[in-house]
Order: sequence, then C-alpha cells, then structure tokens
Amino acid sequence: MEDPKTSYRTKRYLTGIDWVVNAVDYASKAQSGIGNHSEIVLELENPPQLRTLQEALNRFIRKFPVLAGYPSRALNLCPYWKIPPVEQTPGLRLQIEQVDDDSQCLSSLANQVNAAFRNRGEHLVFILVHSGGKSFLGMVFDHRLLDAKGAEALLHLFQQFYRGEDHLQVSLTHPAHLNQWIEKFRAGRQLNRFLLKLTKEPLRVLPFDGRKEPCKFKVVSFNPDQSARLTAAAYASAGYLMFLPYALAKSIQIIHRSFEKKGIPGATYLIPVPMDTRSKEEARKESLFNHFSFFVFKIDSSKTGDLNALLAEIKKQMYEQVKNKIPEAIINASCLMRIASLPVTNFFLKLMSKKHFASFSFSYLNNAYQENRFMQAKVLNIFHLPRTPKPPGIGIFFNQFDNKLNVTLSYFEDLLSEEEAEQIIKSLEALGNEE
Amino acid sequence: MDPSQIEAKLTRQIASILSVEVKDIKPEAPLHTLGVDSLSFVELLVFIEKEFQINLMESGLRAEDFKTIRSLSGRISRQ
Repeated sequence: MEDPKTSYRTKRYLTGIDWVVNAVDYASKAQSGIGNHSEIVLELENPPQLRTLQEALNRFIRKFPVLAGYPSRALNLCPYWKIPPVEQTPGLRLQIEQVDDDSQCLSSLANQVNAAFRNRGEHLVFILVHSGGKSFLGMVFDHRLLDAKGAEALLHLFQQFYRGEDHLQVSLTHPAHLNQWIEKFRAGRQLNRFLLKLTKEPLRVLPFDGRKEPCKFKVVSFNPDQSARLTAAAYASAGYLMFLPYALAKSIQIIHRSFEKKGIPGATYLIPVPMDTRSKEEARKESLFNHFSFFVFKIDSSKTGDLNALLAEIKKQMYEQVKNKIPEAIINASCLMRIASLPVTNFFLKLMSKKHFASFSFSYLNNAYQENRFMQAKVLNIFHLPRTPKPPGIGIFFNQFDNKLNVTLSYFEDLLSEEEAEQIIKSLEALGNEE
Repeated sequence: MDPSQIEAKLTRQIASILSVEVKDIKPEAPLHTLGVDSLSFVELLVFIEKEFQINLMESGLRAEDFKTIRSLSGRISRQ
C-alpha cells in the first residue's frame, strides 16, 4: 500500500539555493552537454545480488516518485519540482562493469559521472564495478535533486527501505517563500556588499576554453591511523573541531604551489565552502534537494606561505561570517533569483562574481551515511566523485566515513596535465603522514 | 559568574544549536560526540562573545579547554 505521506503530492517548491543549482546545471549543460552531476561511491566487501538490488531500486523509486521529477514553474511564478504519478515512474538504471584489475575501477566509475542522463526524469544511475579483488557501487546523482550530504542520506534511506522499516521520512513540504520580501531584499543588499568586497582584486583561476573534455578524478583514502594523525594535526594547529579550516588551509597551500608553477596571475584566491546550517534532526528529515549555504573565503595569495597565519585568517573569516549571518543571507537572497529564468539567473550569477565564482571548489563532508552495510554487504569505505563545473573546473573534496578520511581531486583535462594533477594528489596524500 | 551558571547557559545554547532536548546534553561529554561540528562550534563561540563578552576564536582553541561544556565553562569563568 502506498504511503500517503509521499504519494499524493505533485509538487515541491524549489528554494533559492535549488534555483541557483538549477542555473549551474543549465550552464554546465550549455557548455559540455552534461549537467551538474556527482557520484557517491561505496566500496563493498562483496557485491550485492544483482537481481535483488535491481528489484529493490525499482521498488524504491516507486515509493518515492519525486526521484523521477523535473523542474517546472507554477502560476505564482515560483519554480517547483514536478512529481510524476507512481505509474509513470520508470525503474532505476543499474549498470554492471567487470574490469581486469583494481586500478581500472576508478576510471569506470568516472566514465559514468561524465555521461549525460537519458531523459528529463532521470536523476540517479547506479553502477556496480567489480575487479578481481574489489567491488564498488556508484550512484551518479543530479545535484538539482540532491546535494552531497543528501546523497549519503538517500542511500541511508534506501537501506532502511531495504530492511523494511516503517515510517520512512522524506519531507516534500516546502513553502513557496513568497512573503517577507523586505527581509529578502535586505539580505540581497548585505550579500551584494559582501561580494563586492570579495571580488575587488583579480582572482586566481585556471584559464579554460570551450573544450568538452571529461572531468577526471584522483582519490586518496587514508587508513584509520593516518586519518587519526591528520585529525590530531588539525586540532593541534587549528584548534578543537577545526578540521575544516585546517583541511582548507592545506588545500590552499597545495593549490597555490601548483598555480605558481603554472604562472597563473591574480592577487587572491576565492573559495566557496558549502555548509549545512540545519540541525542533524532537520537534515535527517529533509534529504532531498539542496540545503546548503556557503562560507566564502578570500585569501591573499601572498599570505599562503605561513600556515598559522593562514589558519588564523580562515578562522577569522569563518567567525565573522557566522556572526554576520552571511550563510543565512545567501539562503534568503537567493530566493530573489527565482523570478528569473535559468539563462537570466546564470547571467546574474556571472555578473555578481565578475564571471568567476571561485579559484577552486572545496568541501568537507562528515559521516552522513550512518550505516555500516549496504543491503547485506559490509561497507568498507565511501568517497565522492563530484564533477566540478567550470569555472573553476577544479576542486578538492574531503569526506569521512567510519574513522577513515578520503580526499578527491576533481579536475578537467584541459586545466591540469596528468603530471600537475599527480603532484597535487601526492601533496594531499602526504597530509596523512604529517606529525 | 559561577561556572555552574555558565555551564547551564552553554548547555541550553548547545541544545538550541543542535535542536535537541537540554536533558540530552551531558556537560562532561566531548562536544564532537554530541554532534557539534566546526560550524556549530563557531556558532557557540559567537554566542559566548555576545553573552560573556569574550572572543575565544583567537585563543588557540586547545582541546583541554574546549572539549566539554564543563571545561569550557571553567575556561570562561577564569577569563
């Protein structure tokens, strides 16, 4: 029997952040033919039974047809996500690949995130990659439907569904937010002033052309000892619970060395860092769509050499932005964007940031998948392969699962050579051995 | 201010930041085990500045002073 909580709704209003993500997706499709995708990868002790997995996935999407929806616009001009009837919901696509050795697993997983979805209602594709010794399950997802934390939470929901748990919570109730306009315009003014200060000096960004190269990935998985050492080093240098500022500071230093070698001009680095302002309980109820805001860090490139000074600057900016409620202002102000069509929203986004959004992308995601199994299989590790949109076309993404840290370098082939990418990933790998 | 009064205020604020009941917050538990992360920790530091007029962000944030509500209350009362 269908759950009345999820079956009767036909629309879910999009937030301002959702609309910005839709604009980025539009720009990415216009540039490369491929939307703003990412992939979450579970390393499994042994592969799940294919038939059982496919059947469970098909039952899952029929339970939650919102996963096959698409954006539309209501008569009140507010954009929304149209939820199709259950009977019009197709099954979820699952692909299987057998590769010869472990080293080919990553490229198979990467190929999938570089492929376009087949139709407007497809937002999730699963891929199971086996080699002789390893099994990986990848879920490619459309960022219009899920953010990275939501992707981990959705797999957690799937696991609860697979176990037959009742009362699965997926909140699809979101108001249109067509009120409190003065507050939104004030937030817009505050954000505009904040962005003007950030973009005064020329940014350091990798130059890119219109080539449609695939996005490439390099991943380092730290073992539990290395992860503990890295966390201890972060707490010792940056302070208790300050892993994010430490990982960002180290990433800035590594990127700076690479940009210096490439002779990239500019005076400052601009790094937006997504963060979820909600409580754990709120996040558990609302896994679908986008619920993040941003910190935006501006770092003078001449100040990247001294780690302690760099950490102090990042922590100062983080503190000031929390104190001045900048992440909340971003959420409120982005609601104003929804009136514009996607091309116009994209135009304004570029204009606001003087054509450049960031020097590189960065994020840190901490244990959002709170299971140690996927179906019957033990989960050994989880990492992400986000296709970083251009600009900046390069990103460093940390995540943690079960006391293990991972870091992914995501970049486009026309921005970094294999050798340059290898140098960056080796520097990131070395973080696990620092005392 | 008495450390126990500070402890009560911090407990209420952390419960509010994490959207949990006050009774679920143990003053002797490490903050990370309560679900406090970088962002919620900075939110707590902003609250401390507003409530006690102390900016602790630039203090080094040593784990022995900041790991639990109890140790943090002691740190604030000594300021």
